[in-house]
Amino acid sequence: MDVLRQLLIIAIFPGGIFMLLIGLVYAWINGKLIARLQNRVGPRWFQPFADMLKLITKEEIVPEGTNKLLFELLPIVALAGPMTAALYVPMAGLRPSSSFQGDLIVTIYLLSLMTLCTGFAGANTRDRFSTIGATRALTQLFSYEAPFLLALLGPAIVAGTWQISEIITTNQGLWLVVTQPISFVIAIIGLMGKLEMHPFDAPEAKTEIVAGALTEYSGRGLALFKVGHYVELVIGLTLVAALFLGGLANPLMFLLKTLGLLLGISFLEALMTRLRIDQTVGLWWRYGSVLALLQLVILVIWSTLVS
Amino acid sequence: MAEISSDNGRKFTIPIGPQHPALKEPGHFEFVVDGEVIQEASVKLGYAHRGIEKIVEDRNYTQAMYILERVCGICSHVHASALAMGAEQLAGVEAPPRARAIRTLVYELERIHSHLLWLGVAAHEAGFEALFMYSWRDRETIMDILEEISGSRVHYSVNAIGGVRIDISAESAQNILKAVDFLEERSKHYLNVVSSDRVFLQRSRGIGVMSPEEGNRWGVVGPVARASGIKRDVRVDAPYAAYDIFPVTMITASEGDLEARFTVRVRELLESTRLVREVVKNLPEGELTTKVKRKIPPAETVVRIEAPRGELMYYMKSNGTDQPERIHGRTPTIPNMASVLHLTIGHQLADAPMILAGIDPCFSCNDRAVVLKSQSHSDLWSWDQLRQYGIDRYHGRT
Amino acid sequence: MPEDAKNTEETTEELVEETVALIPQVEAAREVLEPLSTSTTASGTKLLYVAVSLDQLNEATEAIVGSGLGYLISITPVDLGVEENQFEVLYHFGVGPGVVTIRITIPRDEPVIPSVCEQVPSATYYERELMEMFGIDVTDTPNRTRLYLPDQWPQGIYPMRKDYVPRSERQLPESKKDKV
Repeated sequence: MDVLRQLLIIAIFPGGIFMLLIGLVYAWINGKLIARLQNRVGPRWFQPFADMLKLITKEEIVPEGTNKLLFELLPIVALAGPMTAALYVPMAGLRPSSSFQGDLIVTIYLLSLMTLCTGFAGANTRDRFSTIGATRALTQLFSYEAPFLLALLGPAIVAGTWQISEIITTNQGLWLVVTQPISFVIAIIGLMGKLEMHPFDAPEAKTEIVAGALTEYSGRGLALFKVGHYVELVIGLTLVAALFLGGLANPLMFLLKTLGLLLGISFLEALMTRLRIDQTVGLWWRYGSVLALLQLVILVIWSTLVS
Repeated sequence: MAEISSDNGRKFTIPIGPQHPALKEPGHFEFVVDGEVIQEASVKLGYAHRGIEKIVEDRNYTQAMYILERVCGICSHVHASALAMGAEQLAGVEAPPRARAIRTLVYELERIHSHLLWLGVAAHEAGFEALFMYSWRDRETIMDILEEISGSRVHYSVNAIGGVRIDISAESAQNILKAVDFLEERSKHYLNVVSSDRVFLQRSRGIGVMSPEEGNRWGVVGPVARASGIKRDVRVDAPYAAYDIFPVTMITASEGDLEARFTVRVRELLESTRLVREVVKNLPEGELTTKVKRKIPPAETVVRIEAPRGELMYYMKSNGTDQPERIHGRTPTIPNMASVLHLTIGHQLADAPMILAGIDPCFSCNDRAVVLKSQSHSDLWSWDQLRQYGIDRYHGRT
Repeated sequence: MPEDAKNTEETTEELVEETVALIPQVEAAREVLEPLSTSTTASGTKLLYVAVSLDQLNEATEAIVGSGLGYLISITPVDLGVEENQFEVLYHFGVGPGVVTIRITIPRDEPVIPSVCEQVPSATYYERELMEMFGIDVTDTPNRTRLYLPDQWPQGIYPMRKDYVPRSERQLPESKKDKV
């Protein structure tokens, strides 16, 4: 029975099919919100599903001069990373299906797999747009990763544990967004950088480098990368909501809190002009990291004073 | 795309075009980059060359006017009216005052349409999708007005040799006034956005700076020149149509960067709304056309018009028949294009599309299909009808 | 071959000369070009056509651009036809409210002109158009590669000449446009 339960967890909930579906739904909500904010009609609810279906049925073209194995493997790994991370976060407001000391760090690094895969995928093809896109994606990774990690350390330090479920239970009561506002903001913006969302979409800036690292991807590979992005969006929202917005007690709270965050992200996306890659790096290292460190220092001093 | 491998050291050629998401019209640019910084730039044009100058040599003046109107999908009126004005000059007649005023009105409506379109495209290049969507929504107002007064959204065919084909009714006049009131409000808002949005300014302030000396050397025209402090506007320098009765205030800025090009164009929107209002309120009464003989005596002339993108020039030569001997046009994009290639060098690759869009290279625009049933009554087709029409046409083909 | 006013015969008759006073800026340009010109025609108060011999072209350009009187708007090549056997090349300068046009005439079978890029750098785009469309050789323009025509366009065929016959009609045994 235990094996069956494990299989269910991986294939149906919270991994597998559930993640794919909720990822597509959240992608639609994001698209629709931005469209409405820009005074457009926006896609219908099944648009992401139709897109993915179309991509999967299409021929996948492997360009000349690439490592074929790597070309086919990278999208799978890129999707597998966030799918695995789904096991460690309180998906849909339920208890994480797997939990151990240090799973916060594992989750953060599983979320980085996507960007790494994008970077490798771009470097693997010989297309110029891909190469530039890959360089930018990896440059961006090195800029937001440290502040994002520092921001998520805040709740962990307060709780004194590296386990996501324990952080949530210890931090019941006052929402951490009140006590650690800087970390919260950095975590949200870091998430947008991770997902290459609008102000940070220099790696796939379509008016310059077509589709960035994924220019040569078509068909199934592109579908997997896209779904991977959507899944990562849901995981990221869940993680931030669970850590900073007082945990996710039940499915309703999960929906309310994650969708609330998504609304905020969509607002930011609709408001901003794309930043150049040097501006992105400058923003993270000059302000992001410094502020995140400042928040940490305050937290450490405060917790020593209290104890 | 050009050849795939480039092993000349660390240099790297990025081809942009003929098909590229940044370009709505075919053109081919090659940027040699070192990392992200552009070292060299070159251009190849002519993908949309249709031999129009040659075609019009075999047509009479009226036909040539309609063909010239198709030179551009945005500023169609300037080309057609240039031919009409040229033919009138060659024939030694002058269009009646009301016709000249209506031409002026359409010039300014077209300028509003073109500048709003440009604002959207330039914002899109910068990745500012919200501004793109809003400015194109507001542009619809002006498209509707143009459709109302002429029957078409893009190729208005307002001109006739010796005058204009359309009249402005009292009702249309009211609608135009209402529309420019709305657009003035919106333009003020956009002026505020492009000069105060800090994230946007990061992408436009101090980017692509062109000094007046450089501008003069490259012979730039239009808003690009005016943003660099070069006082050059045909409407002011050599008033044509009714610009002598309705004078224009020249709008200049001294910075010469992308921000200045944004603010100059948006301030021109405001100036255009003012002019439209003035023309509509003081439209002279009278005839719409004068008689022009079909055969025009041999002569030559030069017509200059301030198109939305800058100075447009036509050289026309007649030979005593009803067909022109030679028509040569110089569109404003050509000298401005020369400046772009020099401005991009030393900038980041990410800035290149914006600098390119900053001169407003002549982009074509999409159109709805309109079937004209009679002169005044137009019938809009839905997508389904249009699709069915296409299918029927395809099957009916032998 | 003497280059004189007879090439402009068909343009001179249209308006009464010397009676209408030119606007001041164009008048100034006329005075500057006076020593270089072989003939001068005015059309209205704003348009001035100045015929200049080929070797005086650069000097004439310098006279207008260098003195800050005006700027080059465009270069128009005109094919006067096979019988005339001449090309006209017109350099239009915006001079205040008027346009001053410098006209040079070159033989059709040996069309070679100097570049004015020394005086006006942006002229190269118009000069490349001359070379492609009319086969007028601009000897020292900086970039001689094709700007408008496709790479596979045959050498030696210039689409804007009066005697150009499109390929579709060229291959027909009885071309209805038998201009050549």
